[in-house]
Amino acid sequence: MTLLRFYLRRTWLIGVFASLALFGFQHLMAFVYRGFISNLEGAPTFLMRVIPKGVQAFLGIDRLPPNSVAGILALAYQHPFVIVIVCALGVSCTVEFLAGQIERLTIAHLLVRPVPRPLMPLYAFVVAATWLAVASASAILGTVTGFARLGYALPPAGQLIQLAFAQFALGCAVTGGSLFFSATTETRADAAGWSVSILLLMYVGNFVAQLWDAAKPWARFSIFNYYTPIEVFVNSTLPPNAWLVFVSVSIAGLVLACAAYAFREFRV
Amino acid sequence: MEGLADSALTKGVPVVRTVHLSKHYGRRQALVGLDLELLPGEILGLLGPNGAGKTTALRAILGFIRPTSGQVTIFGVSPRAWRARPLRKHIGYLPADLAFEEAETGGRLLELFGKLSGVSPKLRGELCERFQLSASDLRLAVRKYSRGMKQKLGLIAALQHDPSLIILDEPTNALDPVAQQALHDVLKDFVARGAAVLFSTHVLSEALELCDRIAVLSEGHLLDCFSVAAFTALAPRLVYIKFDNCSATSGSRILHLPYAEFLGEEDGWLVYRVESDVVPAVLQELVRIPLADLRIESAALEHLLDYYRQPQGELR
Repeated sequence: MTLLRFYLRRTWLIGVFASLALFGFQHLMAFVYRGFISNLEGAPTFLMRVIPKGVQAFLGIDRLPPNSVAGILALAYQHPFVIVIVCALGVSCTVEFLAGQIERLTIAHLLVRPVPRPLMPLYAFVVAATWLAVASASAILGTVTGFARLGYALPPAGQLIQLAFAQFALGCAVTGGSLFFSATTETRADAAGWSVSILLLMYVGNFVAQLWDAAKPWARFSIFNYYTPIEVFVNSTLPPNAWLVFVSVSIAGLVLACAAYAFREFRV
Repeated sequence: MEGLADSALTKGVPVVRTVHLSKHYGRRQALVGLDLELLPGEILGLLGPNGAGKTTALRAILGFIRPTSGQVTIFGVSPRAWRARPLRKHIGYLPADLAFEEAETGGRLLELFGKLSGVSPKLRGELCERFQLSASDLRLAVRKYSRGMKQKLGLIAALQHDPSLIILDEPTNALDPVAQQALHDVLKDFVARGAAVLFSTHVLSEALELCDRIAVLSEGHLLDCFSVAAFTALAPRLVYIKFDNCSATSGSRILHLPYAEFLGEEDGWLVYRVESDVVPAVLQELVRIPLADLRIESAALEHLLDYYRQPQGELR
């Protein structure tokens, strides 16, 4: 636990920053919604006319137009800003504690002491998951306080909690993947480079797959394909296979990272 | 399990043993067939030029890297085995490329390392005092430390839990002479208590002063492993002679001394190299000559330097 506390203390700044960013963003969404429905009355209909069907499907606005609180929240929770914050939180925690410690050579102090090697990736995951949980809760708090402040009725609490869990689960899956790259490389640049490149590929791939029928079968290989906040408002939860993918990717990444750390060499 | 470390120390079992230890990085042979033993209460120095394989040997002994072939054990157990983990609380290690989390204070890092070692850091206060790292120094962030202070912090972190096996990679790097002497004294105290010390160094005088045995590595091969006492006894001597009126004539007369090799003149002294077994014969010659002064020193350091200068194998 000493090491876990040390890791948590070392990441409090990025954790708090990410949480505040998501809180602020979701709080502002209430004002965006107000502007959307009061000043741009015809906007939703206009948007539905000009946005291609594929993009509408990607954003989910074909099923839940953004002139409702649920519709704007579905958009807000899959906004690239949110995705970037969630991904950055997961990637930075894992890169800092695994590849970062190898690059800075500080890992020698841990390797020589009776600290089980698999504990290092596990703690990195726990730290990332802790801050992701805080950030997800902050996002929901931002939503609740923002919409309550302007007097709008919110969707049921159960749906908001599902929304927070979906965001948290996406973050954990990203962390799992990044954990693997961080545990098998030796520098922060390599670990972050691989993680970000794969995430970018998956995000763009998922977007292209929604627009181009020929690429549709590839969408299932992107974790972003399973992060669909719209489903929370339409069906009250994400599809079961989405949860399964998030949990599987998180666990697979964690297990592979632990195995890599147990067996790999450290030239420190 | 912890008894393994104790039994290794009490029964004279080697604390570290390597058998035909080899490590290759691709085609490059970093270490070739290293056979070493380190006994409790012994200081073994690893000497060799850069790239000789000293750090690779230490990394393999600590289990940081996997040997390509051969075996390594610490306290009788492979360092990479799961059951070797509890034994690590008995190890103190100082890496050559020492690094810390720079934002942390020295005191907080010592606290962290003490807790992670799982043993009470009972020597921390004493070591801080001996290495002259004050309480106010420990309250500073490591980024404000000089290189010497970081080295002292690393040494305290490695030794504060009273380890039985101490592995130090170039420990006197960046230390001032006072701190170097403090380190020598500290290590001697540890050895007197039965700890085993393995360290690599480039400082030949330090190796001769501190070590019980020296292992010389070159290009991954173990050139020689010898007792320092025997080596010093067998090492040539440097004989310094001074005349009242030092002149070339008197110098040339000395040149004819049997078995003595004239090395040159140094601050009015004539310097000769004499093999250890013929020192009595040379002294008998010298008593016949009117000298102003005479000084005899061991040339062990220069002899040791030959290991660095000559190609591999020639000194075997």
